[in-house]
Amino acid sequence: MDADAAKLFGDLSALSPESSYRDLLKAARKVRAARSQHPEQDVLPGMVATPVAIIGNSTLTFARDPLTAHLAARGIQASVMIGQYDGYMAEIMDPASEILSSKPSFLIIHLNHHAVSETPSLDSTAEECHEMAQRQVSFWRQLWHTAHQACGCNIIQTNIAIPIERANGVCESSQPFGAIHYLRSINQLLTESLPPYVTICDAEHLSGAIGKRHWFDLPHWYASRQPVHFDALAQLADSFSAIIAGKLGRSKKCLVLDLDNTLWGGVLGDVGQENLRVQRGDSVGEAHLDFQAYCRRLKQRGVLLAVCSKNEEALAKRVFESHPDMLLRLDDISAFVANWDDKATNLRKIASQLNIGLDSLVFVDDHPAERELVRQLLPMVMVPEVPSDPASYVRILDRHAYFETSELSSEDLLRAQQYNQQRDRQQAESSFTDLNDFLVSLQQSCVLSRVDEQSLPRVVQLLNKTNQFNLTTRRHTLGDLEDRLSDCNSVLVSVRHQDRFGDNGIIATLVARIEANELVIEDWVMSCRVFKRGIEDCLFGELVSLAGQLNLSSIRGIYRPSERNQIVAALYLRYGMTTVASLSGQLQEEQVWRLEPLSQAVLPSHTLRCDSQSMMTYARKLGSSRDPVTGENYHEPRVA
Amino acid sequence: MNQESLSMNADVHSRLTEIFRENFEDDALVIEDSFTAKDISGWDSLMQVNLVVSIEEEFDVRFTTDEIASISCIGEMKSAIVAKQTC
Repeated sequence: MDADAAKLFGDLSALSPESSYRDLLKAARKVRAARSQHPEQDVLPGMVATPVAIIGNSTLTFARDPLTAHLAARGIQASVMIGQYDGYMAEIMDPASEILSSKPSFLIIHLNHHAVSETPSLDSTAEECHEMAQRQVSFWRQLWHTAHQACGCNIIQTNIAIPIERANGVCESSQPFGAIHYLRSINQLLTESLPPYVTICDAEHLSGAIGKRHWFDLPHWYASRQPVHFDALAQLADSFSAIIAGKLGRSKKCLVLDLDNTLWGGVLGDVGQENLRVQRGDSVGEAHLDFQAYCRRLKQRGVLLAVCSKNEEALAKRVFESHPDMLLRLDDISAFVANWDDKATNLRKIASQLNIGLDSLVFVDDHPAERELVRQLLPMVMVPEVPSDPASYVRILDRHAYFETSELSSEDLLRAQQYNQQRDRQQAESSFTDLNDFLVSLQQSCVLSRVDEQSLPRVVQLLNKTNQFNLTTRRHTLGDLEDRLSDCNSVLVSVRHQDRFGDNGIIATLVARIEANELVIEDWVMSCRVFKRGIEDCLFGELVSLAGQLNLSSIRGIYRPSERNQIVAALYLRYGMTTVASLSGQLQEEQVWRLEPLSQAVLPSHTLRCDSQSMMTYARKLGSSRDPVTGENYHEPRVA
Repeated sequence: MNQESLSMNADVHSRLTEIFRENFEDDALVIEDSFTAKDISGWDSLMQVNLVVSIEEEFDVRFTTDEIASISCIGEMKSAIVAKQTC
């Protein structure tokens, strides 16, 4: 990261969810200035580019700068298209509209209560009200479907922020015809059987959190149809950005916690374990316990917890083991570093222990000097500004939405457990002198299968989140891949892995296509948790036999170097492939590797038991549905 | 004009200048009470909204529905700010 980039990064990381509209204008200008200073770069260092569009029933022009700034702060360089005032229906229904033809990866639909077309009258029955709400929601559903069909975009729609005014008093919320009752039922229906490409942004929740009297800015609505107060617009843009970051795998993965005056009150080394403030009945103790409870909920849904503290390790660990009031236990912590080194060094150590990037860490410390040190030395680590009162910790951490995810997969729920198994594996590994003996002792097995509708969301997540074992670092949307599930020239493989320490779930995926007589590997990713276990060797071996079964004569692979994927630079070399060309594209250099004939393949031995039954079935299915000469589909002609 | 209101006026003028410089991205911009949208290039209806929002934040005031659309010269902006701050 050069000095300019670090400066921009520093400026952007000073933004918070509460930054005013005016702060965001300034930040967006800095992003634009950085881009115009480096016109030769398509993407600023450390960022990913993505096209975003926002449409709705109000004036959304002023959402551009807040979105640009907040997305940039989350490492996303967005080009933002803005829909016309109240133009969202036409923009979706007209396939040639400027919005759809710009092919946004993310289409944000922001609607306020004026977008609800029918409202009940005082004599509407409960049934009529319900039907009305259903009509409204199914209309929006049709729009989602149309937009997704047209450009495969992810859709983020706001639910309806419910206005304050109550001409009918409490009946507004207690009677089906009441405006509050009716809008609540619409919001409820919106979330039911949601297509996988749609995320509902909870504007109703945000308006309440900000305060509805502030959110609904009537002078600006009447004057120029501004959707909400400008500072509320800034916060709404941050909510959209967090959702987009989650979808692009830019959400944070690990929460690193200081101990003294962060997880508990008091300094352990000074007051001793029995005098720490971390119990019910003590005001400060309760605040720390509630913070622990929040951290534990994060851990339960797949966020890793780590400790980074200046303390004696044995003393610090003993608190987790034996303090009767502690909620967090040693088992909850995936990496525990307590020593007297500086915190930047220790954060590096934690990232490397967990095998994740420094840019996946969030660091919470009550001490301003420690925060400043980390911000200076490791600008890619998120360091929220927390005041000294522990009562504020949960709220501040929560508002930043560092860990936003639009759905929780079963892998997410098991993640912390899997990292703990990983720790056990590492301990087991250190007791072996021979790596192969160790791998044999793991009793690993893997199941290779064809990607189907069920595994697709996890596969997309893996493709988008993986940075190290990733040959091309191309990101995908669900829509991109959905279409290819039934394409007879596409080969989509997922790998599920387990060993004696537990089930790792789906940890690798490979996307390839058949082109003439060649199998072209487009993307290949594997989770960093299972490096150096022989899984990649096993998968490549199976791929070669699949290519053989399909009578293909060669395999082609592409390697695109990124800042993070050095680990696979020589992967294709390992399998006896040779470089054919180095194409210098606009973005970065691309290496093309080829294996021809297939018998040239070097297949390293591995210790995995591999169930490839479903791969053989897959190959047979591909082989029988595909004309070997034309590559056309025999049975299911593809619609152009 | 008494001493107090003179200095208040000067304060409003310098903070307003800062807002204009920031929004027009021109650190040397000088503003005068008589200026309207015609006198500064780039002062369109979008810029008008950004100026209004920046002023609302800077001075912690709210413009009325009518003012948002109708205020057209810098002098009017200043007197509206002063009136809201003193009342």
